[in-house]
Amino acid sequence: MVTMVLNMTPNGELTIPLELQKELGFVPGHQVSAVRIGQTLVLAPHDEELESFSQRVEAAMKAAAVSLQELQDQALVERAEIVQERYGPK
Amino acid sequence: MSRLRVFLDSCVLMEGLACPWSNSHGLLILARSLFTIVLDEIVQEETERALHRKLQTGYRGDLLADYRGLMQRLVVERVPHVSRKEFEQARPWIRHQNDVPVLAAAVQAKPDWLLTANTSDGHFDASASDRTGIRTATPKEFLALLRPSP
Repeated sequence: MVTMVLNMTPNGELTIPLELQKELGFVPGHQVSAVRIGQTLVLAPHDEELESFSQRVEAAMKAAAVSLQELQDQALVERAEIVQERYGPK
Repeated sequence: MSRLRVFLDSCVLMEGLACPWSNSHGLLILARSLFTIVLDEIVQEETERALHRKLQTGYRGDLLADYRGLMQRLVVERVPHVSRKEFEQARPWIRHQNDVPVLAAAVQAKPDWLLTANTSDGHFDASASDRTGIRTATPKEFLALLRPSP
């Protein structure tokens, strides 16, 4: 683990040292993902493919009026079918 | 520091893919740098089928191709379907029989954690953990474990 102190500007901007940008895959001018864990903020390079997929899934859910719970429930229905197909009586 | 290997149940994978503001999505974001995602074939397949059945018509693009491509990149370890014999051996470990192959696959993979939202009675509960030695947590509980001590 490496720890460091970064300065924050009055506008709330942080600068990641150039060396770390290169090592960790942060690209200047691109977005950065931040995950809050309690009172800690973890920064990670933006995963364009993941975010794009999630946004399109979210839009499709809205268009089809499908909730997350319904998707999770449907996955359990599919699990029951797969179990039956693979491990059910022959 | 060795990377934690986390085995995802489909409820966690689905939430991570569908809810950009969820703990599960945070897990997927951090996976590349902090964790190794371990996924059972049955979990990948049921998630794919559910997405396809519910969202295929409203999705802009090729849903299955995009899903499979993303899984190819995010998932580092895949666990194949357990055999019928392994399924039968695992039956006593968990009361809900549809969860048997998932738990059996987790036992084979020996992850550091099995992450699921389904820790209710008869699913991936404390007795299933006691019988198999597999540690289970919800994404929220797991992320809290990573939090630095004050």
